[in-house]
Amino acid sequence: MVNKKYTLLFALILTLGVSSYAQTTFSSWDWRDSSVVPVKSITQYNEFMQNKNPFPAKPRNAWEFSVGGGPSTITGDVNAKLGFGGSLTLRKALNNIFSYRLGYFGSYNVGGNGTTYTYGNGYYPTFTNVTAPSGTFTAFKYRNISHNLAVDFIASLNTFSNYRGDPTSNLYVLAGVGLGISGTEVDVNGKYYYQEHVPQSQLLAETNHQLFFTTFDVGAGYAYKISKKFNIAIEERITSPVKHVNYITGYNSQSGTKNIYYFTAFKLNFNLF
Amino acid sequence: MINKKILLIIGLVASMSINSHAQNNTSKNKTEPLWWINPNDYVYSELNAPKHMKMPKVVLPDADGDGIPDQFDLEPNTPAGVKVDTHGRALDTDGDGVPDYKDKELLTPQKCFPVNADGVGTCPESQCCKDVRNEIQKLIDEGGISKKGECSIASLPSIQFKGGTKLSKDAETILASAAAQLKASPSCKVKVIGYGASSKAAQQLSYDKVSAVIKYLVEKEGISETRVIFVYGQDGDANTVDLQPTTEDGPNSVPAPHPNLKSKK
Repeated sequence: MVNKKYTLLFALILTLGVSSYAQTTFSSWDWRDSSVVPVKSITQYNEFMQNKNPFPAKPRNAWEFSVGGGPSTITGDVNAKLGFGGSLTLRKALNNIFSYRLGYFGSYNVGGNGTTYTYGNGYYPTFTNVTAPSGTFTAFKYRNISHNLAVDFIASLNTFSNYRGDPTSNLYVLAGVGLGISGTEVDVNGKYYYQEHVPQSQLLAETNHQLFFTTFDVGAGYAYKISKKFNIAIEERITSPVKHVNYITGYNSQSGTKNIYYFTAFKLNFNLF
Repeated sequence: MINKKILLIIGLVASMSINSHAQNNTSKNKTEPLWWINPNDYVYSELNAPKHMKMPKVVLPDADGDGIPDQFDLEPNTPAGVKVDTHGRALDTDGDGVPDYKDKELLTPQKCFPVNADGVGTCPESQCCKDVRNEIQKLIDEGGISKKGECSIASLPSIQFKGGTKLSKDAETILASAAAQLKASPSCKVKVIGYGASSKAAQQLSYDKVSAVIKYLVEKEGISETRVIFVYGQDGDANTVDLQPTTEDGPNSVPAPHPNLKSKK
């Protein structure tokens, strides 16, 4: 059922992309066009048109909506296998270089290894509905669903070309902060249970088996313009909890390696005219 | 639960995309996101084909100051103050090729072309003028009238001296007849020419002889002194004084060149 929906979604997106690709007749920014000038800048626009101000008013520019998906993983004491993630973002330019982006990022990862771990040494979470077995964990496994709501600031690395007009590709870097939400289930004797009673010093809150924590992220991406309305991009984003959160991969060894998300997104970007 | 959330998001995405797609054709009050715009586009398009730039006022050189810039001036050296046409050429009202400021005949009729350097034409003479002129010439040729300013006497005889400055009887007779001719032709003057230029004495002698002739003509024959022209000291036979009818002007008397060498009578 879900697969059908996904198929539908991608078909829809591709249709939109193709149709916008056909519409290449939009003119680029025209400094004489007062319709793109916000009301608060109309004074500057008028002064500019009368040659009293050398600079044209900054035009009202479109939001960019983006949907993306791709491989993701989490590193930690027990590295996750390659899972998948998705993203939905809204990006708005501050000027010709800097922009900000509001985004939701989600991922599903499964991890585990064949290592035998010993219970009772205090480094694993406790469980509500299961009595911790004595002895050892064998073939440790976990599965994790994470969400991240973030504000990213993006800097375009394109220079203002003196040799050609509008850019057709855009290389950018980003950095941001956000709220991370993680739910990890650990396999105990063939059944998955949510971990609980994670040390609160790592978290903002722990509610309904979900861990809430602050994150920061960095990333870089490359976008290629298909039309004035549509472009495609590939982006790598690395998200880390601000504090030393290390229960996301289900198990905390004595070394206590911090958990970090890696997400490579293939993005379809739409300019919302 | 999660599936429902995903479906919700998908629905949101789809609706936003479709909505934006629909708006595209009806209103466009935004530019592309600014990172897709090169702000140099405006700068270079203005450099290439200015549509907004406030250009400085063009000043065209006008070397001759006639109000027509050199670039369009077909006559770049028109003198100052001369009226010119739209091509900067000096006005030439009659079209004779001589501009008005040099033209002494501003409106030369075309039938009088070509004109001279002063723009004055050579008009063909009308038939009646030609007839009148021919008639007058005929009268002059027949001796009926003398043209003012012209002398009809062809020649006058010469006076011969015999060494001194005293006039002989023959000479006085010749002078009397010459004076009669001069009286008949009041427009004629007479040039009295004495010869002898070799020495101061010869010049003075020549002067004295001419003086004697003129004195006789004026005092004895009553010829007006203003009709006599005094010329002496020419190369030639010192004993001869020529009388030459003329209309020229000349000195009626001249001071003696060497009074101390005046010959004794």
